[in-house]
Amino acid sequence: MESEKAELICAEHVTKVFGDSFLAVDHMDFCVRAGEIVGFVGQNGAGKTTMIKMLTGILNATEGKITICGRDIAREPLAAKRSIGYIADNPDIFLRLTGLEFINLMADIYGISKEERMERIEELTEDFEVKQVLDRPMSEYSHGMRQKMMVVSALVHNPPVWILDEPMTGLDPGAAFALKKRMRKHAEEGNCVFFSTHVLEVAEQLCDRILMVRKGQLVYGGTLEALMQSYPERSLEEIFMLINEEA
Amino acid sequence: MKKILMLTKALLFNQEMGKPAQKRKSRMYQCFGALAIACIIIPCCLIVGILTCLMTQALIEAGGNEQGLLFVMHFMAVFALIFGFQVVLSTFYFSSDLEHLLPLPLKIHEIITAKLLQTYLAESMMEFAILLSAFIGYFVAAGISVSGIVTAVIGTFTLPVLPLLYCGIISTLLMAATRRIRSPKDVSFLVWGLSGVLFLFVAWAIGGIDGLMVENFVSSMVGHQNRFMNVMNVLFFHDRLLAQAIAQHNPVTLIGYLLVNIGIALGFLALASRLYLPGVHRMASIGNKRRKMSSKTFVKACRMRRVEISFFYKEMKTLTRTGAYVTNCMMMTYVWPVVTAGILLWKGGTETLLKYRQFYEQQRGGVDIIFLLCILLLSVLIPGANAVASTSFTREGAHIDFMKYIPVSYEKQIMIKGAVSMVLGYSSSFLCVCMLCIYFRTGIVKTVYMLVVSFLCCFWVTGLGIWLDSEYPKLVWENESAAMRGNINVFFHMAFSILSGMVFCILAYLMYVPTKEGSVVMHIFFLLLMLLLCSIFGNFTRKKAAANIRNLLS
Repeated sequence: MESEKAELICAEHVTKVFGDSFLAVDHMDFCVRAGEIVGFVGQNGAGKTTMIKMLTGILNATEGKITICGRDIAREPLAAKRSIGYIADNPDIFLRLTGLEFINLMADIYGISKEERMERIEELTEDFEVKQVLDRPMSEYSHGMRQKMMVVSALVHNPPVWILDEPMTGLDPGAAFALKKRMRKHAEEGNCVFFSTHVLEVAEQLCDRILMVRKGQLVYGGTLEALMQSYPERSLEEIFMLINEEA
Repeated sequence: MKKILMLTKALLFNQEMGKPAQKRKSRMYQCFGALAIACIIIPCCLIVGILTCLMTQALIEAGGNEQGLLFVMHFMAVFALIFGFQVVLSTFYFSSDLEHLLPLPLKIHEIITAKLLQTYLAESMMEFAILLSAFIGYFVAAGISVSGIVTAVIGTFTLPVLPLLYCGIISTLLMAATRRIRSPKDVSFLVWGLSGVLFLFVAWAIGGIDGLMVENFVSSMVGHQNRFMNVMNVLFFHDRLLAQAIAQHNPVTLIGYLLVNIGIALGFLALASRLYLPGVHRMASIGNKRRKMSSKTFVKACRMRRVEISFFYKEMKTLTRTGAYVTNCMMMTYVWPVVTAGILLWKGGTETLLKYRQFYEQQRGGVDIIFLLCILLLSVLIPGANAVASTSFTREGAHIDFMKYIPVSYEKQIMIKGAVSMVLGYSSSFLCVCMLCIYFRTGIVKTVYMLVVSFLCCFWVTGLGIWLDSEYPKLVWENESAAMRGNINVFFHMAFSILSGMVFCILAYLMYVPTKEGSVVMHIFFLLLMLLLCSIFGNFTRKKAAANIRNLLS
């Protein structure tokens, strides 16, 4: 039944080489299907952000093919990007704009109608408790508030594919809870969420599947249950350390 | 001392824009560097050197041996003060490295000295070259001596210090005076107000240079009636000591000059040790009043716009709300019409300009060609100097990724950035052209022609700037001020615009010399030339810049 679901994100043999020889991502293969939340787990410098940047069209792949909702990101970049809601790892963006100006810019980019955007902004800003700061320049926000604004602006156009790079960083427990709830709801509505994280507990709570990456290579791809069964009586943290040592 | 030097080194490295990693780009930037030196630094140095030499020769005869050199030293000092104030203020109080420096076990005077040294080394390179040329010009006119050379070398490296110290003192006192201020708007008002007062004061002093007639100038200088010199002799009294040390070969005056510098530096450090930290803390505590946004405002703000319009507003808001961009881009854009209006209002009734106007009306002596060249020069210099086009991608900084993950084509984004530069640059040259055309009574047809040619010039120079910045944008910066400072694209863009102005002048001269006629032909020639440049370069920039951004970071 699962294999029949549409593949919203698909990476085939994706490789990224920086300069002449630095292999950041090495022939990575995976798909994320509708209804799935997939966690991308790995140590610092494992190649998570590079992969995410290739998925969103920020970087081009040296080899391989990436499709988003069936659109090749290299050949039809604009069509593919329209389906993505992306939260970058750095929320310090357009700090001279107010939160509302930034969200409206994003809504204009994705062509969201006035009525729809008002409804979405109201809903999202209430959920993430940033409604009261919408008219203030983002330079006055704390790191966490900027991160919340990134979340709101990335979701304002309600895209089918969410690609989130360390989305929980800097969020307070309330906002982290709200985001997790939204991620789950989004997947249940037939969309998909692909996110990177260092925090194994987050992956444990949320993910249908995890992709574990080490030195640019995929070292595990599957459900958490299957992973735990392969290493009985080990905590997820211990398994993570073991896999990283084994690989 | 070791700590200060290490800190200065770190701050400087952080601010520098390294060479591109790719060999092709690195070689290209080396060529641009050579071109920029040839088009900006060498002409400036030559002009200053020759002027100093001529002034010294004229003044020696009238008995004012060192007055010419002193005049140049004062001029350099006052400009260093005006342009340095916002830089020092931003480096001292608004740079994001403070978050990392203040928690370190460093004494305040160590931080301040390192920041001052950083500013001195980063901002004074051009000043060193110009001062050295002024000294050479002086020696050519007044004769050379060993003690003079030693004093000149010391002067070259020490003269830029005092204006920076003044900037530091003014900044520290200003921030100490903000005790009751709680809003960023009030701080901006205070800073801009003080900058305006400084500017007006200097304009008033410069207004007292006493005309452009050599006789008036010499007699006012020798007779101590020149307002500019009298004011600057008080403000930069140390310049006089150095000029005397050079002219009179007097080591005691040189020692006095050095002691004055050291004394003021120590005084500043003592002042900063007391007032700097409270000022930094106050700046970190200011904030706007929080008011609840009304639902009417919310609904109004949420209207749907075309993506091009929305992007354009984003760019304009960034430019107008950021202090560093306001100073380096907006003010550099609109200073030209202000200066043009000032000259026409202030000197419009003088014999020289009236004679030019008369010649223009009578189509005599190639004045109409000079007028056309002035318009062309203005129109290439305004967008070349305002750094809007040449920082199009630099301004994105660490979030350049945004351009790449949004579903808007690179070409469209580049066009919008170009439109922003055009709106600013052309609005300024439009005003200048209109004022000049009205003054010179050119008539409607010629005015329209001039406006069209000016538009084409702005377009070509904007394209040039955007392409330059796309090749190697400065994306790593601590704050917007650092994005502008040390940005070689801005420097190269200015050099290219000066070079194109020089090429226009040479072309006009070559066309004019054989016939002493040809005004109509020349007007048509420049129109066609600009159309050609715009059509070739517009297309090239759009494609090349898009390819550069696509391949950026990859």
